[in-house]
Amino acid sequence: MADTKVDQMSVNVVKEPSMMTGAIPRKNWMDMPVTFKPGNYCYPAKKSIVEYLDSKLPGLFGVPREWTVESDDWQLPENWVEIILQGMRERLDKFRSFKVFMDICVRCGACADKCHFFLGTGDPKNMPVLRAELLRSVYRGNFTKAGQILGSIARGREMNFEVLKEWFMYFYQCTECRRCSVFCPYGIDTAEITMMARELLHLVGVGTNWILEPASNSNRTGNHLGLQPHTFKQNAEFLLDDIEEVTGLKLNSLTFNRKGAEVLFIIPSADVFADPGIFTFMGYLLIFDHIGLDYTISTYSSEGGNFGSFTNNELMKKLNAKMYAEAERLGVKWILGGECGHMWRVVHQYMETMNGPPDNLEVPKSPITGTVFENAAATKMVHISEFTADLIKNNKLKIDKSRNDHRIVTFHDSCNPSRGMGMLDEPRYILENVCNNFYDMPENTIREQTFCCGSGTGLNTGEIMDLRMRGGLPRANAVKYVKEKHDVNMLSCVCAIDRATLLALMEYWNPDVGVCGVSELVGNALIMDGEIERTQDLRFEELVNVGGSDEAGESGNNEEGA
Amino acid sequence: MNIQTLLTPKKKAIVQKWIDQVLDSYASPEFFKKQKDRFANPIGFTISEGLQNLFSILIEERELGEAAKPLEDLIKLRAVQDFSPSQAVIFVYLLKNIIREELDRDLKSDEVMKTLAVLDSRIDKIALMAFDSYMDCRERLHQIRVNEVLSGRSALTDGTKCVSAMLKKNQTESAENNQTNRLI
Repeated sequence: MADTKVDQMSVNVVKEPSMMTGAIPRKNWMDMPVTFKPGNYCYPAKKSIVEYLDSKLPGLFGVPREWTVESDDWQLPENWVEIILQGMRERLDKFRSFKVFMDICVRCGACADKCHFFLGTGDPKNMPVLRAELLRSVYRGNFTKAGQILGSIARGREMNFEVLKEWFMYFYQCTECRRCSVFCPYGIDTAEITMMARELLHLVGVGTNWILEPASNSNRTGNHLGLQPHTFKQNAEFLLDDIEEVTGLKLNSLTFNRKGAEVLFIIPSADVFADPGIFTFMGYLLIFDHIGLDYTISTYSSEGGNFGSFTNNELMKKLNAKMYAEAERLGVKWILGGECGHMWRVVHQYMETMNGPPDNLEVPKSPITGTVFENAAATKMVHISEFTADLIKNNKLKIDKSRNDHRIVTFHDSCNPSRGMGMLDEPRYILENVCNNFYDMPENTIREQTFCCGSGTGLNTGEIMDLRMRGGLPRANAVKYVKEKHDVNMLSCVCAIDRATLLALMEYWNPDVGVCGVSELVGNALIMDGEIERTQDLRFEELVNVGGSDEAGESGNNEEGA
Repeated sequence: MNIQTLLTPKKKAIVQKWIDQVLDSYASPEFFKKQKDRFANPIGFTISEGLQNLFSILIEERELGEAAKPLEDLIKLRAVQDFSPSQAVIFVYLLKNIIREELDRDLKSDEVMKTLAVLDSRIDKIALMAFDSYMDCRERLHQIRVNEVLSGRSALTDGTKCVSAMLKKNQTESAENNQTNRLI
């Protein structure tokens, strides 16, 4: 079984050495060693964090210890190779998709140039096909007859420390965004290959602090930061004062842990403490107050994000379970979810099978419009953009679009809501209805083909800032285009990690472009009963067109050709 | 003889060679050379467009200040791509060799050599601008890290600057102030 395409690729890679850098490898990709240096890896998890997680889910996070990535001794257990292979064996049995994805790739190369990390680095191991090959070669070498007998001739490999280093390097240069999967003729979900590789790495105690600490905080207090209930509540209420300053209204519809509410609202916790998520949060509250929604927020299920999904399916399931548990405890009818990214992938693809069916919940029905969200019949959980778009469609929101006239807006399809759950049109419909100036980016950079922010799956940490800038280059490059063509000054999105990391990405590549959530723009445009004349937006920035009307203006929603 | 007269006939070959050599500094350059869609290949597009612009500014004897923008686009890329500072900016110097290779037989003429000396001096100035641009990019990057910490976006794990932490700090401070006032 000759893998001619891989052979060709490895030859292409070693062609034409340059006088400039010596960066071009002169060996086959399998023989190129990995070098860790400051800036190209995430810090390892603290011992105390791993101890905590190990006490909750024994055996899944390896031996708690201090170790350094640049060292040649990662303090691995003596039998670490056996642990990895046994872990692989168990997962091949448990997850049919994993076995299928290991076997069916024909190395056609359709995915090779679709990864934002490849496009930003030119590193061949960032081609999804080769990244998967890092794992697949070990699979072949240990679990297929041809690989066991023929070894490297059948492109099989033994598991060793160099391979482990490669895994840590390249499976943490994949944001599980699934853009490559869109182009795979076999439908291989490369993100799930990365998930498996990370599960195996965690088994031998190779994990990053940026992922494991928020995950352990979420398990302990319900959110990434470890905010306790009173602090979470205090933070959220703090934002009511800001709303009052802008609108003159003291909202009293925000409640916490209120039993008997119709709807449980779950957000990414960054929306109550981090700029610019807090403005999105204000937007949510204004929408709910505007329509009189009977909702509550749980201080225990106070995090939509699920960093467990970046470690293993057990922790993902455990963190996700609190959503249904809280919905049941509070006796709500259904769950509404905020502008979050991977929460929606977990909800859409895994929640119902992991923790469902939630028999105590009802199929979500908007109490305002009567719309039944059949698409959420299994999970009982509706996205805020679906909910808001339905409100607009049914004329339930009083809107003054001109209040967003100081914004020339484009929209970044966050990977998980777009590719992970298929939500492509709702945010655009909202934007067209709350802004006069909305321009889409070119078609091969949006919707199903959207480019990742470059910092998802727990890669949004400061120590790899260079890497994040490289990974986000294709997205920033498309924003640059609409900025130059239409003077775009605001990049909207529906994901908390995006709101945080696109800001850094824009500060580097397109310094005049801000970042906001879609609900922030809705909040700006909403005409609230009894409000004062608005002269500022939710960020306290002056409006340019004060006193506009609520008549729908012409929106400039053009989609650019490639 | 001016620079433009000397180099315009060779422009296409020189620029192409320049682009190819710069793209060769990446580990798998073939794709970057082939794919022409600017959104599917941001590195290839940025480098091709940037170098073409730079070359035009150089040989048309335009004000060198005009080179700042295309240079920034190029350096921004190279400053975050794991190159050493010298590797990031060396592409400017590559042009000298390429031009000499392409002119080859003409190099015996004194007039050509004089013209090239003028051009070399312009290239050197661009190289100095490239150093400045590189430092700007690195400083910007570090500033972004600082901003991320200060804004609370990094509070996901360290929690030092979240709204509640600041609130708590304010409360502690005001409690301390009250106590001090009482003592006074």
